Amino acid sequence: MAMETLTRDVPSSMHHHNNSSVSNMKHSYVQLSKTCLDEDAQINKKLPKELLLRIFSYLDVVSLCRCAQVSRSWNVLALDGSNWQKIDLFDFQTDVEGPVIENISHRCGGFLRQISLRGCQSVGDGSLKTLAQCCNYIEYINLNGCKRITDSTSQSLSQYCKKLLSLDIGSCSMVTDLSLKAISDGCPNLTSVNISWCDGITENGVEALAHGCPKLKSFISKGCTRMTTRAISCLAQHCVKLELINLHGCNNIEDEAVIKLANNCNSLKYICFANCSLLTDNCLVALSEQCYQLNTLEVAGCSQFTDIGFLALSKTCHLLEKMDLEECVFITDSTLFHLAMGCPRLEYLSLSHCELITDEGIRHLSTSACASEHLAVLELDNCPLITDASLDHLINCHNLQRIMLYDCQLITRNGIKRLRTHSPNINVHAYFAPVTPPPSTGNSRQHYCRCCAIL
Amino acid sequence: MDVDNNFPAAKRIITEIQNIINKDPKLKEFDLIIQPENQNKSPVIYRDHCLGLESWCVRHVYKYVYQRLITIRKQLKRQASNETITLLTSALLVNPEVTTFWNMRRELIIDGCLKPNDELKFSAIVLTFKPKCAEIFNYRRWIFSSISKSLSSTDIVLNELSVGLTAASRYPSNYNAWNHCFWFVQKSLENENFSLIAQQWEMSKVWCREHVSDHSCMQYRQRLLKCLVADKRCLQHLECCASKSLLKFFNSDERPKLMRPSEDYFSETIGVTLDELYFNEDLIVTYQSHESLWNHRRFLCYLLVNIYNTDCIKEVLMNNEKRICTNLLKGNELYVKKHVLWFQTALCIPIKLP
Repeated sequence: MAMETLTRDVPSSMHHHNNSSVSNMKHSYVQLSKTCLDEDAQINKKLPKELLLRIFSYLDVVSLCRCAQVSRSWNVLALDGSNWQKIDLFDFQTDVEGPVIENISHRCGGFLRQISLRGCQSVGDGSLKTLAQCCNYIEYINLNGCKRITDSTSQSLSQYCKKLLSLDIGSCSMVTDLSLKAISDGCPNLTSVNISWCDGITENGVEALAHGCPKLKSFISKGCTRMTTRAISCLAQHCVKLELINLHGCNNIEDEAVIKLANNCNSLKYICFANCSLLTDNCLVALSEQCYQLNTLEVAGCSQFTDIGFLALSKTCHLLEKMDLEECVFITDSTLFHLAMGCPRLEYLSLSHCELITDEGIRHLSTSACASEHLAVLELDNCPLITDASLDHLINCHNLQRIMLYDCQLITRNGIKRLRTHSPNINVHAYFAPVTPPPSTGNSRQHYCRCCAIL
Repeated sequence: MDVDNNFPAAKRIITEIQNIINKDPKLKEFDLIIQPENQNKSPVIYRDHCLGLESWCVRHVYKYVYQRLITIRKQLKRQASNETITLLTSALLVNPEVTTFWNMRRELIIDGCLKPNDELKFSAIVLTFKPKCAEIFNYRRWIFSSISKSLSSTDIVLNELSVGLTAASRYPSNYNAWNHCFWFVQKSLENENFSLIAQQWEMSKVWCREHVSDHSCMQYRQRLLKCLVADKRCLQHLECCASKSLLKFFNSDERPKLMRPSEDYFSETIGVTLDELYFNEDLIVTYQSHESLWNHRRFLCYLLVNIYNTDCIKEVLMNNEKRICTNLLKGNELYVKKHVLWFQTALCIPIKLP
């Protein structure tokens, strides 16, 4: 329904009041239909258009489209561009096609600030060009998963939308370096960019971006396997305001890139280097020397990191809240000891597959400042040395909400039971089957046939 | 949410299963592993391209996926998400008899979220666990008929026939599997591909010899035989020793009496049926007391009399059956008597036993 309204070019003309003037129509009916006319309707009499517009501006897409079908004047008001400053069409991703975007662009014009077309796979370059041409003031555009778009879309954006602040072209696999070059030429204010899973993008594109958009604060390039150390170094050199960087799966990145980042971008808060397996402790040391603001560090699969790196980190980065250390296989209890001392705000800690961790490490953690107040999630799956003793230590963590214990073979049902009796709200994840509810065991007798029951 | 808290591991288990299926294109088998004792260890076992699930978790995992799927199904807005696929995979592996779940997968194929080829692989794996499940076969046929895959490619058809055959070997009296095979034979006949039926005729003969008490395959052969007899073009590709059987059946002096203008066709169709009759006799003699063999024999006799309804054939058939019944009376008394009675009532051919 909503989409039909959007696809329609001109508001549908209302014919019914013409029919009502047929001569033999009863008087009362004529009156009734008169009150339904736009001008005479109570709500339109009492409320000036400005107020109606204001009310409409609070509605979501679906409600607006419904209102647009009430009457001709409401149609004009509901589809007024001022109501359409922020549009998220994610919920209609399968319905959205070219004409929808084109109509939206004509209606919204300069009003449009934010638009999300995440997952709208049938949208192509042509309609996005219209969008860019009509709506020059777009600040935020999300094209994640619009797989049909190519560099031509980025070129239109760079040509017409000079005010662009945030661009998401994740999973647009046809996009190449040319896109980033175009964006870097036309959108100097860009603060946030997401180019995850764009296989076509190489270091050249990122370098151009770094040169053209020095205000970049957030850079996300998950799964860009062609990303190199040089590209990241260039980014670090030019975009010193970076606060968030996500290089998940960019497995060619080396220490040098991270060291440059640490030296230049001191306001980094969020870092994800998951599966960048070439990185070593030098990165962590460099980060600890410069980036004190760090609150999230995701380094799952960085298997060369050791206690030395985390020791350095925990000495200076006291604001750390979330740490994902999955498969940092060399870390030992010593890391936990230092984290317990240095990171009092720790909320989330993942130690999955860190096979050297023992009960002693957990004991340190549970006696620290973070444990009693902040620690909410602790992942210990596949830590084979962890025993029930760890769970007993964790009883001190009053804020603990979730704990993962998959494949910890020394953990027993009783250990979990003890933990649960102390903190009943905790969500314990383990492979133990839930205890069978009494009815099924109680009634099992009745399933026997009568003769067996007698016996 | 409630199920989630009750057994949070369910989500992890089904994700693990889905990952294995996604990653291993050579996965060939799924089964449950009887393990009533529960340790804090993943119940998903994966070795040598075979996937196993420990039995203790099945109940809890199924409860979780079932409840989640029904909730998703009840939502008015159908949204294809990876979660749905993961849930469906585990639900169908454990219990493939739920048509609703297969229908959900059908919708996902139509929406382009699942690839038909991957689905053929997946359903083949499910078949290894429940080889007799009709829903799986339906689903596979649906993929072929609705996704309009060209059935002309013999590779695809041969692959389907081998899938059907594997399922048939895994479960006795698997009529569903043979139905599946026959559907493809029919389709290939519609496409005027006549070599396939001949190949199936030979293949199922070998299979019958190895499974003498399984009537399902014989029924498949009966259907094939009807096709062979009905269309002359089917016989072209058949390597048969029809003439030998003909000679054996009709004594040389009776032969001229039978000859008719359409002699070629006649001798070939009768020949194929006679071939099968002698093959059946071999089996009856070798393996005593298998009712399925006698049932099959009755069909053959009936067909023979119906293709060419003359007194002459009836007479020869009577003599032939008399010979066999007399020879086999010892040890098969029950079946022989039934056979004789059936000849009397159904075909009105009296057989006198000594």
